[in-house]
Formats: sequence, C-alpha cells, structure tokens
Amino acid sequence: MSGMLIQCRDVWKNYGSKQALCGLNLQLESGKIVGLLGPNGSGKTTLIKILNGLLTADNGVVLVDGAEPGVYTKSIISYLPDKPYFAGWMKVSDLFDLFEDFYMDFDREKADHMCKALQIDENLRMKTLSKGTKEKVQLILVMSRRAKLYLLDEPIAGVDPAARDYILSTILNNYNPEGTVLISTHLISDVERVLDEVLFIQNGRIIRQELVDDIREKEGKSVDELFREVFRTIPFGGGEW
Amino acid sequence: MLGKLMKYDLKSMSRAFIPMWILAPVISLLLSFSIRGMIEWTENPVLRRLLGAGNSILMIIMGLLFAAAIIGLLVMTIMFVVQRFWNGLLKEEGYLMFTLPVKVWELVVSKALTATLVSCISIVVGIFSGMILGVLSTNDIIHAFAYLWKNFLSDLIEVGPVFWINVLLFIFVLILGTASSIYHVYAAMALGHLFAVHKVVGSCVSYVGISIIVSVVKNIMSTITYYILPDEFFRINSYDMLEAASSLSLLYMMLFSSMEIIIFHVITERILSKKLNLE
Repeated sequence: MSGMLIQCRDVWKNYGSKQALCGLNLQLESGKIVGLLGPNGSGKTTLIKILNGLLTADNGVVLVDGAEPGVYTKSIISYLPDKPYFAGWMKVSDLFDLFEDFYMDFDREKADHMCKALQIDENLRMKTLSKGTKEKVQLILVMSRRAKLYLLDEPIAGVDPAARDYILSTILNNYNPEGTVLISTHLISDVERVLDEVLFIQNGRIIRQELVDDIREKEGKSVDELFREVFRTIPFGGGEW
Repeated sequence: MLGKLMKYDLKSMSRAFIPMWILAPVISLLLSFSIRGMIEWTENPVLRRLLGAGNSILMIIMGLLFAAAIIGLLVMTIMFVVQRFWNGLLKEEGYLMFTLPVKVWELVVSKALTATLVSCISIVVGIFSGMILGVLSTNDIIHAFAYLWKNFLSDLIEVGPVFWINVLLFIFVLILGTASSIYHVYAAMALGHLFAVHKVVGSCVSYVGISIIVSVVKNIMSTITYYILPDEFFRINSYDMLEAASSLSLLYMMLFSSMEIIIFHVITERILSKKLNLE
C-alpha cells in the first residue's frame, strides 16, 4: 500500500467510437482540496463516474483507498453529480432518512442545521423545489457526510457568482479535513483560492499535476493564467484574443 | 441492507398503487349496484317487452367494463414495474442508487421482490373486484356456480389433502410466474442498456429475443419430458392419477420459473455490475 487515496493506472474508456479516457494515470493523497480542471469534453465527468462506480473502465486499474470501486469505496465517497438525481416524490426529510440509513458517516444534525440556515422546509417534496433549492439540498446531503473522498462534479456551473461563493464556503467549512475534495470545473478563477493542488486534464489524460503554491512561486502565474496558456486554442479566423 | 432498500422501493411503489387498490373494489361495488338496479329495471315486464334483449346487452357491457378495468390494472402494473427499474436504476435516479454502499444484487433483488409483491396484490385486488362485480350485480352468477358445482364439479373434484396441496402449488406457480415475467423485463432492460444508442429499442429487441429463446427451450424440455415420462402418465384413468399428474405438472412449472428467475437475475446483475454505463 502506498497510502494514496486515489490510484489510476492506464485507464481507458470509450463511448462507442469516441474516446473519453486514453490511458489516464493519476495518484492523489488524502487531506487536500484538488481542482480537476479541463475544457468541456476533456474527461472530467467520466473520470469522476469511474471513481464512484457509475461507469466501468474498459481497461486499467482504478483504486480508491486501496480498493476497486465497490461497496467499500461507495461508503467513503461523497458524490455531487452534475445533475439532480432525486425521485420527485421524495421529501427533503425522506432523502435525509435515506442517507442516514445507508451512510454511517452522515451527520443528520448537521444536515438539519444547514437546512434551517437556508430556510428549506424539510417537508417539501423535491418536485416542488426550484432548481437552485434542489442544488442546495444536494450540496447539504454531500457535505453532511464525513467522507474520505468528496467528488464534486461542476458544483458551481450554472449558478450566479453570489451562489458560487456560498457553495464554495459551504464546501470549505464542512468537508472532512482528513479527506480529499476533488472539484471538477472549468470556472478556474472562482475556485482557485480554495485549491491546494490542480490536475489539468485534456483528451482523456492528466497532462499536469501541480501544487497551486508551486505554480505561483515557480511560474509567477495564477492557476487561471496557466490554464488559459495550456488550453489556449487559436480562434477561428486566426489571431490572438 | 436489502431490507432498507426494499423499504424505499415499497414506499415509492405503494404511493401509486394504494389508491388504485382501494379504488378498484369501490368502483366495482358502485358499478355492481347500478347494474343490479338496471337489471331489475329491465325485469319490469312492460319495459322488458320494450327493450327486448336488454338484459343480455347489460351483461355484455358489464363484462366489457370488467375486462377494461382488469386490463387497466394490469397495464398500469406492468408500466410501473418497467418505469421503476428504468428510471430508478438506469436514469438519473440511478446516480443515487448506484452510489449507495450496497451490492448490485441487492438493488436488483429489492426491485424484483417489491415489484412481485405489488403485482401479486394487484392481481388479487383485480380478482376480488371482479368477484364483487359478478356476485353483487346479479344473483344469477352465484346460482349458476352452485348449479355447476352440485351437478358436475362435485363429482369430478374430491376435496382432499392433495387437492389443497395442488391449490397451494398453483399459488406458488402464479407467484413464481409473476416474478419470472418481471425478471424477464429486467434482463431485457439490462441488455438494452448495453446498446450505445437507442437503448429503449435495444431493450424491446432483447425482450423479444429472450422470449424466443425461452419458448424454444420450453419446447425442447417438453419433448424430452414426453419421452422420459412413462406412458402410464398420459393414460390417466383415475382421480388419484389426475391429482398426481397435476402436482407433477405444477412442480415442473415451478422449477421452470425458478430457473428463469435465476438466469434472468444473473444476466441483470452481471451487466449492471460489470458494464454499468450511466452516461
């Protein structure tokens, strides 16, 4: 055992003829907030779904806390998907019951407390909630767990800047400091201040893995600047922006 | 964990079914009273002459209504069984179910057990509603059955212990048959899930494919059984032999359904364990 929380070796995944992951390699330790950064279609969601077992890799080795995706890894991963996964008939309290039943690390008190703070009525059915409130409920569920690994897929996409701040501070104030938070996003400037480490993903491969402090010290750049440099594409018609 | 999963599956299914289970017999009751009233009305000699064959038309209408109600109940049950598996595991809700720390077989078995239970209750409610409709609408049906029993059936059927064992076996055959039909649909949907695109079409094609394979296997097995069984088995000349043959046939059907359930379960579980692709 190397003590790594996430180990991926030569992981491949195709959707029909489209290659999503092409021999991806990755090692990640515990106790960090890590940004999984890459343009749309670079393989961020695919990697996250393979780690939590919603997709199966075509080839390669995937280990989370030393185990292949399965019952154990699911019990230590707290996953925020990129779209709501609720059954419309369920009340907020039903979801809390469900999490309490299945996840040993779910803190019901914390969830109730967060709900009150956000003035969400636990007796409301999911289908009656607005899109924003649904996202908040999902965030409450995910951050009320004391997980070893938080996989947050685009948690701030599609919300206004004020809501982004709220989401990021909720994550920062509530995650288990012994665990690792992996946040996938392409909105770098918003998340940059909370990250310890970044992974740049392109065409299904991790092309750079660095500590944020190193980027700032060695290259004298912000992560956002480095991202724009690495993923720059020439605009149609040529020339620079 | 299976118990906890079933608690949620039952909760989600019972929401839609409990109102229907209450409504179906109530509607039958109301319908039977109105039919009884109409029959009595048409039995009025003056009106009867005016209406001619009114009574038989009413009976036909009643039969059609009953058939429509039962078909409705069945269609809704089937749709719900399909929808709970498709939406609950293979669409967005699957994100939640497949990230719970439970084994895949537990997810499948929980869905199958609750769906079987709900379907069986629907069947019982359907039969019960039909009986209410039949018995309360007109006394003729009770009289007809009593006459049939007294004059024909009581001579043919001996109500002894073997009779009751056969009744019990018959109920098991129905339950296992329901479960294997449900698993048949699950296996088809799991196979459809393997298709990169057009998963619904893939599921339908898989359903038909499985049906063909099952019927071929059934035919082969029947042929083999026909040759294996002694000739006496097909020359039934006493009630005891009839009962024994019935028991054997029911056991054979139970065995076949159980095999179907096991095979369909393995197909579904293996695909969802090894080839899950919630894109």
